Amino acid sequence: MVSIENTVGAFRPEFSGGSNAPALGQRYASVVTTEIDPAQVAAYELFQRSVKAAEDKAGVRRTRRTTANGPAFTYTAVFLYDSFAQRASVPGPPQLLTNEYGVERAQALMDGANRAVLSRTFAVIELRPDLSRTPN
Amino acid sequence: MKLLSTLVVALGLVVAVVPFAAAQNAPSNFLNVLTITVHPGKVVDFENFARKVQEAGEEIGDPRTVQMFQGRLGGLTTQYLAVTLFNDWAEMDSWPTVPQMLVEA
Repeated sequence: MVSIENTVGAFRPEFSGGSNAPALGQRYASVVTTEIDPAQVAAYELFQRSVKAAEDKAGVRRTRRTTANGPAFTYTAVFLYDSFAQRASVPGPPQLLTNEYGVERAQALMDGANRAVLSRTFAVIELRPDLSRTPN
Repeated sequence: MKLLSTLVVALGLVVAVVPFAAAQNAPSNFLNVLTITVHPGKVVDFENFARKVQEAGEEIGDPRTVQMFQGRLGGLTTQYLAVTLFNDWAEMDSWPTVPQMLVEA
């Protein structure tokens, strides 16, 4: 054992196209964790709302949370899928924003978000059904 | 063996403080994530322990769902995330701890 850390995330439906519940049986989850500048919350959340609107139109479902317990000003986006081919077929926020708002507006939204970002990590985690428990 | 004992005790203590949350398929207000980083040489020991915890939960009829994930890309592959959902903070008041679950089972 090297470390154990607990965090609690609060579901943010205004930024999410899906529910907060991990779909049981989905094999992979892409998790994007972003720490933002507290002074730039408004700009970042405008970006989040704009991405959500674009995702809704495109039928893309990503769920987003902010930290309730754990590192503050941290936003998490989760996308669930069963194969890497499925993942590759779904456009990311830059493409979705461009499709929805055009190049200039999309770039402005992304510039605002990028100025707010202090750090960001991308990770893929895999469900381990043999270590999981679902009540009967 | 000493390392395994340490692993079991450490996990038990931490989870006793912050137990697994309830989880449903319906949208939930909160998501509890316990991130456990395991020493690379102790993965098998950890996974055996995690199975025992889940078996104990089933034996005592714990209604909560726990989804365990393992790091695959972009991070440590010896990192595990126990993910559970809940709707209300008050739910935490009735959650048994891992040591309680193991003793009861």
